[in-house]
Formats: sequence, C-alpha cells, structure tokens
Amino acid sequence: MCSADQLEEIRAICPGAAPMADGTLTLIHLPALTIQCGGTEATVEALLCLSSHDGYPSRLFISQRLAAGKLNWQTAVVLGRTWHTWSWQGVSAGQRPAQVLAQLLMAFR
Amino acid sequence: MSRDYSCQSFLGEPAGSTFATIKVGIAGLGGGGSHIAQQLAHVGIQSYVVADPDRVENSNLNRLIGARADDVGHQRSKAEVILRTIVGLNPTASVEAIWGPWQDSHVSFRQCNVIFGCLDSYGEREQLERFCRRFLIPYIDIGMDVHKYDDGYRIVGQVIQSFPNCPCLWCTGLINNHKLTHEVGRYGDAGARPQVVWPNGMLASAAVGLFVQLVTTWGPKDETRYLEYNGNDLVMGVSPLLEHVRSETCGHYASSQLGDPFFSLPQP
Amino acid sequence: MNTLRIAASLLEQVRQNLSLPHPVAYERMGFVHCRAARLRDGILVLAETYEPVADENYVADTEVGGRMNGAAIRIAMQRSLTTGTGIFHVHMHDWTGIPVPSATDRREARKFVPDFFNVQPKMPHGFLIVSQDALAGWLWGGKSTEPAAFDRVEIGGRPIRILDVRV
Repeated sequence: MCSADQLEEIRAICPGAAPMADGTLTLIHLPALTIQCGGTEATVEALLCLSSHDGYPSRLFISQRLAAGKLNWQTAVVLGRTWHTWSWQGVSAGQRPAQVLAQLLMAFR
Repeated sequence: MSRDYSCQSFLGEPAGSTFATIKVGIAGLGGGGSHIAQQLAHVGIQSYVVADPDRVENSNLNRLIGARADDVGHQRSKAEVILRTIVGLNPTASVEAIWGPWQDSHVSFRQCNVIFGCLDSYGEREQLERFCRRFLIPYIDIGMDVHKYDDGYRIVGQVIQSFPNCPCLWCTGLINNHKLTHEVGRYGDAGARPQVVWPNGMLASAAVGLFVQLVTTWGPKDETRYLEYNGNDLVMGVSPLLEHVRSETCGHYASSQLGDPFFSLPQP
Repeated sequence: MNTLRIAASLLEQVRQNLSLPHPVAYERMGFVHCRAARLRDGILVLAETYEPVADENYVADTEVGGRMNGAAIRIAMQRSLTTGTGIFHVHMHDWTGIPVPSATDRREARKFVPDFFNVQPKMPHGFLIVSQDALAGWLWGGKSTEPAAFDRVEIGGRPIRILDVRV
C-alpha cells in the first residue's frame, strides 16, 4: 500500500496519480508519465505495480511500446485493458514508490 | 443439413437454445485447446472466440487435434486449424479466430460467457483468470505436465472451474507467488515441454463436461470444481484440496473490481 | 449489442427484496449499481450491487404501483457519485416471461433517469424490470440520448442463462 506522503511524491512526478487495484495487484495509475527514451521524450499512460506480478517484485506497465534498445517486451491485460511491460528484474517493491518508478525507468537509459 | 442433437436430449430442453446463443472463449489452441474446440463443435456450440499466436509445427502434430500434415508446409496458424475444425462440424457457427495472443483481442473475450484457459504458464493463467473475474465470466483452466523422477516420468494434470465470487486459482493453490517467481527464473531454460495427446484428451473432456454442467440443467451445480489427473495410473478424481477451499470466501478479488475502470461514455 | 450481465445470486437478492410487502406501496423498487465496458458493437453493463429503496422513502400514490420520494433518488445518486457506478432503477412484474415495460414505466423512467447523468456523466444509466423468471431493461447512453433496450441479458448462475430480451 502507498501512504499519503508517498502518493504525493508520485504526484509530483505525475499529477493525477491515483491508487487502484486489480485482483492481488496493488497499482498506482499514472495518467501522463513522461519518459526520456533514446534522446526523445514520450508521454504515456502507465500503471506502477507495487506488488508481485508474474514473478516480478514490481513492474511498470505503459500504454505503448517505446523504441528502447533490446527490451524484452510483453503484452499484459491489467484492469481489463492491454498494457505493455518488459522484463526488468530486481526492483524491490519495498522501497518508496517514487524510487521503484525511477529504477524501473532505468530500462530506457 | 441441420444437425440432429436428439442424442443429447437428456441435457434438458433449454440446452439447445443455450448452445445456440452462448459464446465460448478458448485462449490457447494447442494440445488442450484444440481438443476442447473440437468437442464443443460436436456438442453444438455456435459462437466462439479463439486465440493462439502460433503456427502449426511438425512437433505439434503429435497432439494438435484437427491439424493435418500439410498445415506445416502451408504455415497455417493454429487459429486457422481450429476455425476449420469448428465450421467443418457447424457450418453456421460464428468463429472469431485470432492469430495472436488473447491479450491483443481481449475486447472480443469480454463478450464470452465461459472462457477456457489452455495456456502454458502460471503467469498467463493468473492474468486470464483476473480478466474473467473482472467481467463476471466463469473460467475453466486445464493443464498437464510431465515430471521426471528417479524412477521415471509421471504425467499429471488438473482441471479447475473458477466461478465469479467463489474460490479462485489462488485459493486452490494452483497459482502462488513461488510458482510465478520460479517460472520467471526458468525463462529461457524451458526448452520443449513434454506433451502427449491422450492426457490432453482426458483433461479436455473433463473440462467440456464441466462446461456442459455449467450451462445446462444436467449434473451437479457446484461453483468450484477441481479435478486432478494421475496420468500414470490413468485416474481422474476430485482434488483433496477442494474440501479446504470449497466453503471459503475468495479474498483475492474485490466485488467492486468489475468492468473497465477507465470507461467513459462520449461526452458532449 | 448492449448486454447486461448479472450474477444469479444478485438477481435473487433483488427478487427477494422486491417481493416483500409494503404498507403503502403496491410495488417495491430499488437501484442496481453497475460498472461498464465497451464491446466491439455495444456496451457491457455489469451489475455490482443492489440497494433497495428504504421503506420510509415510498410515497402513497393511487395512480402507480409504487412511487419513491426525492430522498430515494438522492441516495442513489450519492452512491453513484462516490462509487463511480451507473444507476439502474429496478422494479418487478410479478409474473413469468420476459418483462415488457408499460407506457407508465417508460414515461416515469424518462422523468428521472436523465438526471443521473448530472452526477455521473461517464456511466450509462437506465432501468430494469424483473419478472419471476427473467429480466429486461433499457439503458441511456447519454443525458439527451434516446434509451435503448438491452439486446442480451446474461444471468450468471448454475446453469448460465442467456436471454434475448429485445423489447
């Protein structure tokens, strides 16, 4: 679960961020997340997953695939919709959500 | 030629209209899903959404029901093979045959009244069950494995019926975080999973039997069903785990997690 | 194809409540709160909860089977606002077969259903009629749109029932 101050931290990065849930998944919806990718900027809708998903301790789902190196992309249905995510291990969900988000976004650097 | 279903009259009079109007989804059209599709076509189901991302390969021919040798050379998709199987028995059937993962056509699967999950991983099963719960769709999962032990190989399998608001795959223990984590850790090492036709047939037949009981007045009406298959002794029976979950309330899915949370009507 | 999907257990809860006698009203009523999703060719409405109109919120009326007061509607609208659900008014035709709304049913629904969009413009709203063995209804896709009948009603029980209920 995300505390109020942790949620405010995320909202400073992405205004409008809101907690959601899908089955056992604890999520934060990010309506417009800006990602620096390959010298360009992309704004996507995203879900930050702070609970174990498919064997990963944390995950970031985004609304579209980005051209970023050799990521192993996967399609997933979360909250009844299609999202895109990638294999990126080792980001513990026990950190502050903003730290989890920052570490997951390192995939695009 | 219209089909003669008089041999199925013991299923009750409404069965005919139900089979004509119900929409069935099958995610995964390999050894298990192909069996299920064929049997449903025999039973008389008229409306399908089926999906699989693969083409027919030589290694599939030992178990892919409806496949022909020339499908390999023609690089036909499994979805195309299943379409051919179904309409060969029911020329008037409506079949949305998707060459791709079910996730890419999930909107079509929303319309299904029952979904069969014939998928290769626990992660895929968890995802599909979660989808089914969100859209109040009963889910029937089948799976088989071949395990190597010191004294040889053992074939095992299961059929689980997961009904909305009732115990789920997490409750039964088929899905847990240990299995999901272990599965991710094995990625790339999986190789060809052992698969043979006759256990798939047993499991698929049980799954279709559960389905018919779910949609007709015939047979028991328990919400949660869990059958285990011992492929070496050729025995299928109720899992002893079922007694531990049958009376429990599922705590994994909140009743408010229905529909598309981002749904919005067009605004003026 | 607009589709309503409801668990048999929830429908039974609705029937049992609507069958209860009332000291003033001939007919009881309530509200089914729903979620929604797009289909390829329509809207899927998923029934989530049922909230009966409280006994004290019925008004005596000799011209209709049952009439609710403004408080009943405000309670439903408040619930819709806080939960994000669509509101479907429901009452019962106590006979068998697919229910057909009367001219009174249609006229009365047009008076209050469009107002639901004032608190929840993103969700469909409408009304349902329950019979002893079936269910039918109309949904509005916007405040100013014409209501459309559900083409298909799916009752999730054992056995599953599919009703072609175009009215």
